[in-house]
Amino acid sequence: MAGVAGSNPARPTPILIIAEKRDAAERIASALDSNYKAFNINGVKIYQIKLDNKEATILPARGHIFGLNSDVKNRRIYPVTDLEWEPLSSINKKFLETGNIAELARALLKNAEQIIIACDYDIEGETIGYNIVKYSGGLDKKLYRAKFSTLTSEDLRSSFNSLITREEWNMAEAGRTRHYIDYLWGINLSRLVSDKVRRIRYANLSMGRVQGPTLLELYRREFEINAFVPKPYWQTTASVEVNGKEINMIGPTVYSENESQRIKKLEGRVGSVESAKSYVESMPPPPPFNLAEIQKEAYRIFKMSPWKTLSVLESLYLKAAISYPRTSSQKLPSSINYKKILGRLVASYSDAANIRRSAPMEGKLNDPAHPAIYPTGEGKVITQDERNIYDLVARRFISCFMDDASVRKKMIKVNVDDITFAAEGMEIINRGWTRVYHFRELNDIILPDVKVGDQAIIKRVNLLNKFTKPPPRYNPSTLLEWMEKNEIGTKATRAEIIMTLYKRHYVDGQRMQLTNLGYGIARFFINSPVITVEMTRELEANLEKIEEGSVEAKKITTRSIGLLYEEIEKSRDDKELVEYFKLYLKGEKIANFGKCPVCGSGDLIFHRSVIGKRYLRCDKCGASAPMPSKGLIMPTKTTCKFCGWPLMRRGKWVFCPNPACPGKQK
Amino acid sequence: MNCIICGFPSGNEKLCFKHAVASKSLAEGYNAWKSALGISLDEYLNDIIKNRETGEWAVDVAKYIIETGDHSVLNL
Repeated sequence: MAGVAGSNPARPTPILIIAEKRDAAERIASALDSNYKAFNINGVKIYQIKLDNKEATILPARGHIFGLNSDVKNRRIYPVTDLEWEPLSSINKKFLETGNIAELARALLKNAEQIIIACDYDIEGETIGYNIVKYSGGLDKKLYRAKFSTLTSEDLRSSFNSLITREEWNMAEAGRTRHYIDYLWGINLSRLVSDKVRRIRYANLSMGRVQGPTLLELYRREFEINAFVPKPYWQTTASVEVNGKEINMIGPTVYSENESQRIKKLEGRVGSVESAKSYVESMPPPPPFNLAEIQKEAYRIFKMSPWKTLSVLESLYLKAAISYPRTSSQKLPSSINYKKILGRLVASYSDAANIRRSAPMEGKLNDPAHPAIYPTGEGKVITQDERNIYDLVARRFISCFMDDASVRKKMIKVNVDDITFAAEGMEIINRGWTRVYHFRELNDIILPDVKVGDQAIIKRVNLLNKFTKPPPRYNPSTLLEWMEKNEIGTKATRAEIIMTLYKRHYVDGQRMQLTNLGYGIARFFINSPVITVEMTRELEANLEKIEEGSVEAKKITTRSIGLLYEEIEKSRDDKELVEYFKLYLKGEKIANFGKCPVCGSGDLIFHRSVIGKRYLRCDKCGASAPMPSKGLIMPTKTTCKFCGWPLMRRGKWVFCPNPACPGKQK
Repeated sequence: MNCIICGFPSGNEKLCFKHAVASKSLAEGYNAWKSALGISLDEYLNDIIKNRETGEWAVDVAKYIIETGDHSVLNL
């Protein structure tokens, strides 16, 4: 490290730079002044540098240091209406250290003439910076914004050489409005839910503006799967001889056994080639990554969850190895200097020296704040997860400059007694970008040369009796995709929302299955007008308008709150719904798990311990049995023939919960 | 009333909301199976129970009909 630890107390300086995190602050300090000094004041590490011959202090925040809070602490009181922004240290003990940052900010701002906000250039970064300036009394000072997409020294120096004068705060306003509405939505709906299930031992129930529609989508999918009845069909395939060579072809799909037998009888019949087409298809490289796309790809390739991917990306960004990851852009502007980046990548990726395009392949999506995710060619990548994700980013970036992959496709159709069989072949001409981005494979499927009118003999017909399948369960990646497609949540918060569904035990497993608790909560909100995709999407659109400055934040807040309070009042008084909800969650407790076989009078109650262990316990004699830690467990109507305990079912597996069951010992 | 299959509260209906949806799906499925294989309702229900793709609630309804002979829940 070039900087030195300062032994003298830090002096107030005329310039104050606010960074979002400590790592970022240190990178800014070393980029702007290799002789920077670091001071530790009450546990807060600040950096002092010379900027254009003036002294400047860099103060790192720790993400948000101000948050919303309500005076109404009693969880039984709702709706909560008044919220205030307060230092996080006074809201939650977990954030005590942020109190020192807020104090330091106030002291440093008092003497500063200029303030430069150097937080991440997005809604959250803007909100973090604005709140610090506002609540430290600095809004009347000269305010500037540093805009950068990577933490490389070059980018940082360039951004400080072209600072933006900050006169409007639309982006911060949109951020603050989102926080405000989400907090109100969350606190009130969560209190409503908790109020209804107070006597049931489930803790930390929550519901939110984005969490709600996402949970309801899982609920709908659960219905489609559990009520699914497969329908039979027959997939026909045939081995067809043309010019002495056998080709495996696909015949029609039929929906009755009689029809399938009619096709089977074609064995030995002679027809002819109806069409034979061959053409070259070009496959351009995929566009560079935005956040949603890399989260999907990391799940597909490494089975890495979306939130884990985001955390690895953030760590790579803070190490200046990649550009800012919370972006929806699929564009790579020339200002990032492709040539220099590719030059740096050559040592690890030789293909970076063989690029064929002067401008990269780009997608349609744009993000005014940041370009697509790209490697900087700098920074140290340490962990295996970081190496995997960095490799993905680097290969995708290089592939954007590679030539198209090209394949010769061949389509052959033969007709026998008015039934058509078809085959599709593929021959790789040029692997193009897939040489670098080898996560997409191309394989040859060679078909012989035939021409229209050639004789075709059906040698064998195979009938494959299949059944339609239910839609697949969502996994974190496909659910994220659904959220993105329906425009609910933001690129930065979607992964966290999915993680919350797991934390609250509303869902279980990689193939996301709703728990009974999840069913109950979803059922409670299924007809609620405030928990809909449309409502959530409308609000997102309005937040964008606030960001553009075309709508006043207050107008949107007032309208949203009105709808929310109306719904809460309605649900609070809906006794039938409330009773139903209670019964639903108690369903496991009251009847479904049956009588205790030990005392014969108590009920076997399903419990989940604070550490997540699940077990059954008799509410009278205390007899207990452990339950599988994952999956939706349902009672069956039968009892174990060995010990008399009620049998349980998880999926297709039926089991006796009694650990001392003689049947198990056998 | 409680659901005749799982005992869950079902308002004024014989089946709870889950099993009601499954029962409707089971009735629709029978038409497809009948025209594909020309089988009877009992044969259909037995095949459906054994099929791995059948949803849990649909299996519950099919088993209930086989055990009790109560075809009324299907609304065919």
